[in-house]
Amino acid sequence: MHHHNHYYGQAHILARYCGLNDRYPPPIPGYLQHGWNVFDGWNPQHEFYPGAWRFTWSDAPRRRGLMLGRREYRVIGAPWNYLLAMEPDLGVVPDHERVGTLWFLFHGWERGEIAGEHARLIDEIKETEPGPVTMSLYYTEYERPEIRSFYQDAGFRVICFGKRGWNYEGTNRTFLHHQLAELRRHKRVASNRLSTAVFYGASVGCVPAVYGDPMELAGEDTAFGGTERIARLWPDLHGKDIDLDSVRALVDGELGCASLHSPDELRLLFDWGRDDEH
Amino acid sequence: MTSIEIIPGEMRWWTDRANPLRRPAGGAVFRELLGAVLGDPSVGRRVLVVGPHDDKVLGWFEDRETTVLVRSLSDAEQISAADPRVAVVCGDLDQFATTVRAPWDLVVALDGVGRLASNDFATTAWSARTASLSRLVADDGVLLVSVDNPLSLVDLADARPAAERRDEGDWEPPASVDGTRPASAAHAGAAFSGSGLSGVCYAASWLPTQPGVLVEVGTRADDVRLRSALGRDVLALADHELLFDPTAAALATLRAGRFADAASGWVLVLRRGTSLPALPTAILADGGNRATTFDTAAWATVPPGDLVVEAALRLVQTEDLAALRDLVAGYLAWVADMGIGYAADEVLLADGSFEVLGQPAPLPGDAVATAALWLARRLLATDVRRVWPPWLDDNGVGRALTAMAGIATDAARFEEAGAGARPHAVSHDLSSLRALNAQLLLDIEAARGQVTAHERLAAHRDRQLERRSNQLRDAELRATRAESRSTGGGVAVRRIVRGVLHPVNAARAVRRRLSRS
Repeated sequence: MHHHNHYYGQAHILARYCGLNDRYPPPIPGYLQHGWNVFDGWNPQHEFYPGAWRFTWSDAPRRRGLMLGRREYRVIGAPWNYLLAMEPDLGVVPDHERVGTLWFLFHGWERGEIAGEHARLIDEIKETEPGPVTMSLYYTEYERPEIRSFYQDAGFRVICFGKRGWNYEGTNRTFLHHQLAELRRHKRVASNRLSTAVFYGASVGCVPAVYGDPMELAGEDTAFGGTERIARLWPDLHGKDIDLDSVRALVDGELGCASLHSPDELRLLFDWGRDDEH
Repeated sequence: MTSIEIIPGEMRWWTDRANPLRRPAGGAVFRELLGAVLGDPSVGRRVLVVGPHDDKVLGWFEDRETTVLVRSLSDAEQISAADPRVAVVCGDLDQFATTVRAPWDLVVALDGVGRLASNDFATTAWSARTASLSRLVADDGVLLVSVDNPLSLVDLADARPAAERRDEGDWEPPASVDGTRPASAAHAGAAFSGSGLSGVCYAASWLPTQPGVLVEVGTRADDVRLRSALGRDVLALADHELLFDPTAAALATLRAGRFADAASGWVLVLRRGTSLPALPTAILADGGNRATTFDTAAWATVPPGDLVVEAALRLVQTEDLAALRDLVAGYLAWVADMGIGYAADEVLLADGSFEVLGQPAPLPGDAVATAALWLARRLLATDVRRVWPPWLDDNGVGRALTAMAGIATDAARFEEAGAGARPHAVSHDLSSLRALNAQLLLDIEAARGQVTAHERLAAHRDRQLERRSNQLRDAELRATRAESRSTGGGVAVRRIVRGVLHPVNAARAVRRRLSRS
């Protein structure tokens, strides 16, 4: 129903989980939260069509959305959890072979670029990370040579998982599959802002870290309270040396791991039927 | 430039203080209660105000070291801007309570604990929140806290669907699923005893956050002063969607000695360790922004008699109009003598004499007209027997009351008095609206009956008019004929007269004459 539902191939994952057409997934009758955020999964000004249901990852977004007078929330957990359920072996290596850090640079988007001190950040990463660093850039930064070269010249392996898509076009349907495989090869996951990828990495056993210049995003909405609010609410997930076991419950909570639906239940919830099989 | 300490759980895009469903705590009654606490020299200087309170409340601690905790960031910014002297903390109660801070000498939570938890965190039970609150109180500190009564008459009378009542925040589950919430005044007091806090519990109505009445639980409550104050304060429910006016039921609980069971909430003044400050037994709002306190001795001295409005309603309900005439005559004559109008809800009738109860504000405008109109509007309530015909509206009944009292009525005086006579009554509840609807149907039926009666009368008059017209015409013709005979009138005149009286014969005669010629 909304092109955001296709971002990162999340609708495709859910369709496959339900045994339906995952190349052209049937429409989800509402809005699927497409990334972790500090509000209700969307921004406070987001326009929804009347009566729309909102499918969130966890309960906190539901609670915050109700505060705005929005209704019709249903917590289903992150599509990432459904991918993990379907791909228990994808990219898995023995623990002793997991090496290095998959480092996610806070990224811009189609309508806003980031600005910050990349050189200083690289110095801090080198000082901090015990092993080789794989730098994950979103395509908005990856396709800017002046940014990509910073990290390549630093000796990091630089990768990009592709595009999340826009208006149903250009979506890398296996975006999260590749991310999962990479995370399972690394020992640590890190970023300069607490963000979706950090939760994903921690959920598959990467030791998380959040540090460094959080950088500025052009036109960033301060309504969320900024990085200060995120640090206040999740202090345990900030720092260079985080104990994974101590934050596991927190990570599972934000990803809504306890809300995994069965395929039958999800099909009913999305009004997906046999006609959607092919 | 204001300074706010933000702790985890600050809520953006949200306000508690501007919530139309639940006003921030405050009002004259709470001011008197806090005045009694602050007047005790054993209560220290450090004050913590927790939750949404009216701006004026903070002014009551002007000589104290005051900290305010609210969860809404916009509320925090408003408070800080309005009173830079106050330290403002914004965030979640549990987060606040777990940080290391020196406890406070006085903790004020007159909005209760319902609006202290942030939706950034999973919902906590009432008992957990009160435990957090109790931790903030110093060893010899005082805690003032409100607790809502889940069985209050106002809640029972609430016409809103459950989903619209969640004034604490829609993300919270309904209060009914929280088994730790007290269901009685005794439970409320016991909930704090585990934290070493004990003291006095008051029953409060009508609004739990801005009550017009506080009476110590366990003291006698059936009192004309309390009835008057409850009646006066019921206007606070003007914004509520109600199934019925809860006043009558509340008065019944007073008679049964169970006011605390039906009150809107309970207010507890608790202390850990040392003795409590000297506290009043009851506090009643006088209307406006004033309240009167009663100590134990003053409360024990019950004024004799009934309110004028109570007596008048009883006489109308029993249709004892002769006695009503005497009552109204006495009351309005008393008003006229003084030249100051006091509402019938504020005047005590004892042994045939009238006396103002407490210190209410006089009615504005023409004393007699406004007092009469006030009483008229009370007697025209939908649950009161109708003893005046429907064409007498409130102004008409007001004038009828002054006529009963033998005072000259003047329609203009009543027109002017209209705005000043706003009686203490709920008239927008579903029960009243249904009764009004039934009354309006009767009025319509009566109006239709009158139309029918007038139509019949008109038809009768038409027939009478036709008969009289015919009689008149006959009389005129007879007079003309007689005049013609007496004056030897010509053939032409006679023919004309015949033609009018017997047109068929006249026509035949004309035809005969024409055929001959």
